[in-house]
Amino acid sequence: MTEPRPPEGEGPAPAATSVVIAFRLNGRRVETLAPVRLTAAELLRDQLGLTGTKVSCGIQVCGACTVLVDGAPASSCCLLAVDLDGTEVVTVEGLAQGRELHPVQEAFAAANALQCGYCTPGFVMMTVALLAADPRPDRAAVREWLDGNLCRCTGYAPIETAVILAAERTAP
Amino acid sequence: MTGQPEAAPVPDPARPPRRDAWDKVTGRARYASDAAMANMAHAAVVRADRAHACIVAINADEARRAPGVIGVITADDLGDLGRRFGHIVCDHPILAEDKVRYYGEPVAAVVAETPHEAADAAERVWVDYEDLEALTTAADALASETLIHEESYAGPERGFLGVKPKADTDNAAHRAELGWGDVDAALAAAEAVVETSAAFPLVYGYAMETYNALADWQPGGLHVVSTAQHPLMVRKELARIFSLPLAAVRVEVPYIGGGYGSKSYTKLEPLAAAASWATGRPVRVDTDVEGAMHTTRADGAHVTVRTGFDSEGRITARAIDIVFDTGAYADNSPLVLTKSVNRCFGPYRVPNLRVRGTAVYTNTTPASSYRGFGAPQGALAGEMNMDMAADRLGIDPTELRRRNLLEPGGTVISGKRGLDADLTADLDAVAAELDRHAGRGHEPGVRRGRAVAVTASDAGASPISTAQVRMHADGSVTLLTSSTEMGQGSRTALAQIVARQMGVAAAAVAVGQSDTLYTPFEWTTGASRTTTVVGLAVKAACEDLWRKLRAMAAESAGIDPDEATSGGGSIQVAGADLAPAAVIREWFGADAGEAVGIGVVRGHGETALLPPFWEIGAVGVEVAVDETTGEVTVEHLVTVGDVGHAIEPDLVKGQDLGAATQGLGIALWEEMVYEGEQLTNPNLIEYRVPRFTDMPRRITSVLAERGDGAGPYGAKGAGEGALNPVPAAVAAAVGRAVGVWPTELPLTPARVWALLRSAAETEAAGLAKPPTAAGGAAPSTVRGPAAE
Amino acid sequence: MGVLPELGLVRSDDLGRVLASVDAEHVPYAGGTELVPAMGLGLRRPAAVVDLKRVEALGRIAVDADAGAVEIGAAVTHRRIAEHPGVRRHLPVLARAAGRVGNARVRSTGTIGGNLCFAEPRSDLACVLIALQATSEVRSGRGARTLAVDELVIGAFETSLSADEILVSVTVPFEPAGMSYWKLQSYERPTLGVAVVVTEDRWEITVGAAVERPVRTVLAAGDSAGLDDFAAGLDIGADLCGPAEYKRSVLREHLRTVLETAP
Repeated sequence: MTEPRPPEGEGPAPAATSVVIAFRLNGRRVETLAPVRLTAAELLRDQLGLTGTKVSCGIQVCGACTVLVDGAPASSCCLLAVDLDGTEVVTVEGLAQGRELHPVQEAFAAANALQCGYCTPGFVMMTVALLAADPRPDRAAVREWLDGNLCRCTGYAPIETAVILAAERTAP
Repeated sequence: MTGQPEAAPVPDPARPPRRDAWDKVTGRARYASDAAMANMAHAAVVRADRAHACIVAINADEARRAPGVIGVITADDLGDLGRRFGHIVCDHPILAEDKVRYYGEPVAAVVAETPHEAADAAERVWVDYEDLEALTTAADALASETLIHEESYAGPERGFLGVKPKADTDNAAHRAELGWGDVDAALAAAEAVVETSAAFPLVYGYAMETYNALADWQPGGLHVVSTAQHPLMVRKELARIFSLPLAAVRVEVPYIGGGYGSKSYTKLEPLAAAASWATGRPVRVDTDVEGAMHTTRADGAHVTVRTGFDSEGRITARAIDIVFDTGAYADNSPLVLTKSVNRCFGPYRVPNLRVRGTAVYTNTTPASSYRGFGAPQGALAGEMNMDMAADRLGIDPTELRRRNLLEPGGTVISGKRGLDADLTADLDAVAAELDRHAGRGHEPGVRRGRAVAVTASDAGASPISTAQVRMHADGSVTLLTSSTEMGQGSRTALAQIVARQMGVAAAAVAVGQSDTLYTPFEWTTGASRTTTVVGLAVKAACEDLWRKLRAMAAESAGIDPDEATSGGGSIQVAGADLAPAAVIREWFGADAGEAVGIGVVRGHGETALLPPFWEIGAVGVEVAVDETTGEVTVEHLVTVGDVGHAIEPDLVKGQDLGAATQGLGIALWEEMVYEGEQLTNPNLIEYRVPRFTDMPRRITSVLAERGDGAGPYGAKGAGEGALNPVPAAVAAAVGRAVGVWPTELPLTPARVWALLRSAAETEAAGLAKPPTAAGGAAPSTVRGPAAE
Repeated sequence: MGVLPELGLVRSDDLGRVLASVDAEHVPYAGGTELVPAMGLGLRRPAAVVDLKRVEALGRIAVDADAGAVEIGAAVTHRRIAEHPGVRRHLPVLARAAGRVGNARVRSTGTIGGNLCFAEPRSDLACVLIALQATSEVRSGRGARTLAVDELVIGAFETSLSADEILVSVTVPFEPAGMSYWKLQSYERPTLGVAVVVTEDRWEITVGAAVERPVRTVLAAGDSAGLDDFAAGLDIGADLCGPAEYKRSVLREHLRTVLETAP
């Protein structure tokens, strides 16, 4: 192996263990000093008090911690908080408009698509993302998209009903 | 084609949705995992990295000096606190003392200002061990001279529901027996004797909110917020450990993120409380999934069933042996075993019976309650045995069951409540639905099989429940109960009962969370008891409230209390019809005050006979097996919710589908796998639970409402019933599809492939006829290990 | 997963600075879908992560019609690969495979580079890319080199990258006619992945997931004995998905179906 040559430009960038980040959270601006080891879920729940986002499997398999980052669903348990810098983040708390529930929230309530409720925020956020990309998904598409979200209570069928219902109510 | 699941509840705007729906869809629902207290510290748990070893020394000096650390607690730091817990056998140390008994057992707790600091310091706790022989299976533990527990923990004061710690010290945690008649003679005289053995896996409940507890100890009192299903049981253990009066221990349980029995009894609460006591700070203890899998699982089991039949296919005798793998501590397994013994032989006429059960300590995660409570373990062998017998006798498996099912009112176990269900009607409904949609035609590379299964469980737990209803000056009502809401919808159903009894809208009924400081005594939230047993307490509280209202109205009118009557949602006094709210305002002389009703259930009246109800499971499945990959698809799932009366039909169907889905998980996927001393799949990538795309292609949910329960309006419990027979039904259906009876669950693709291969070898050797192409309920010859 | 360990971050939009920062303790990082859980489970413990997401060059997809290839930057997410019109047109099998990696969240954050460099054996992309005979461009402060993906992914969780090298991009020749990819996925990750390219006279077969790293072979069309030998000779491992003979049997059956019984 050859001796490393100095790179173009400057030398190694310094590693920081905390970074000031700024992002929009449910429409408001947040600026905070985030330790690099802090996950987005920890930032939202423990530091910003938004406990609607739930953490369960911890390895992005169950989907309970789903939030939208720049419109795309992400597992906040495995996302470094510093990666929220400069993004637009929506959590389950950001869906309702005042007293009006988001149509997806309404559909989950109407279809009894929840029992213990621990997976519900994640399913709701994933459904919002699905309908944004595909306003009229068929049942197969719903199953495929939500296959990465676990629910231990319902057996999934009522959730499928809720998603179809939400699509019917919101599709153009 | 993927049909629309029939069970999917169609939203009905006329019915109010669950009362927790708004909370839960907005993320506002508060769970223990969301609870915080001012000045709260965080504990990280140091866990054993071996299964069975003496603790030689624990060196926590470096951890104690680490940034943010408030204290490190080991068993030596517990002072005069009670060292162990366990409501039946007091065998479970808060922190391992002298030795560890399973991989993952808590050895020390590091308390620090933040979770990060606690976790960092926990890596600096060094434990020296001296290894002992690790016994990770029940068979090994029974065969070994090495003791997992050196003492029996038997004492005069302990014992729970008649279940007492055994006196001898061996690796059996508990033994239970049941029987009558002369089994040996009946088997000897039987026309046919059919034997089945089956292994039930070690299952992790995976409630999505993992176990957690927050405790705040102060001189003379303790406040705990936790995921406990049974707050009053936890209060009792904590009061004993801390030598506090019951009233000084407050256990608060907000919404629970899934229970299924896995959060029954005491888990992390003593550890959090001891850490708070040791540091003088409120302390949170959280677990991740791995920590949860190291906290509690369900009992694994090996069950052998031998059944004798006469020439007409009537059962003459059953002999059943149950061996539970109970793990390192007894927890509730002695009771689970006792129930398994009661439940394993089926709701059949069994003139001669012998059941022997042993729960065995092993060096694995402690086992305890899980949905079904011993019933699925027994039913797996017991119901598959009926299918194997049907083949042997040349009788349709549904018909064979019909010939043996107990009639309504029949005696399952002498001295217990008679069977409060029409099982033949339930089974016929299952069979009819299964047949109606039976897969037809031949798909190359796919084999199909169908099966039914039936169970009856002595459910409802102990009939001890209290409820308080407070009617306010405007006629609205607050219901207080310590029954916990973990998704089953109890707040919705109980509010419905109050609304019906008091003649008010459900929207005018508030239901509080369980908090032992305020809410009245409740035995447990489990055993599918809430609607039936708590419902009766709520109903009684409403009746008491009416009595109070009549007395108040009479007093206001200056007449004898007996002269006031009530009915139609109002009080009648001297020809006048008074609204309850008006009675309250009149009595207090102001637009203020309230009337309080108390309801009590104990072993009398409707619940004098145990069990409070028999919980029925009647299901059918059709499966498709891919011949190449061994993958099993559930084509059709039929459940019958025999609930007497469905107070909230959608919620009952939701319970049935949820329970059945967990049964499918056990049947097809779920298993904690130990390799040597260590759990090899402590995460949700490798511990696979049912997923969205696993949903049965067709779901039929039938409600049987015959008003035959002891609960309000003839209701009986649901919640476990639809799980109990599912593993057995799936195993039998797969057996029919592939032509070999399975002997162990879960039926993973690789295991089913092995069964297919074994069937092919058998066919090639000309030992058995291939099963009928469509499988189905028609008799087919399926090779079984004991079908000689 | 517990909490993450103490961790540093290096972030720059300049590739040179990024390259100067990467070493054994300062590891490349993009979506974090593999690295973050691995750190949480205590399997990886770097001093710092070097964020590649802000380097524009690593986030590009470029279709080169003249060369007949698509160049995909290492920090491109699975979702972008699955949705990119050029990839869908010229590499439909890869687009479909990327569209089925993990779940929708993993696809939104996880990257092709992370997937390859983590070298998780139960991965679809490595198998498909090796089947497509893709090449990778690797750079360090010392310079650049190009190597086949087949030479990049060399074992289970093992690549041929030096500690100071990062994967910059993958160049994938347009998909040949007759290509397909099939996987057996009963668990969270695939049990077996099989890519085949069938031409008039050749069977190109690449097997992934069941083996430590994807294995590619080329047989003469119709060489059933060769197929048997190939399947029998693979070093297939046992795991929670099943024993080796199970996976081998499914593989052999699948190959029989797609190759020998093909019309």
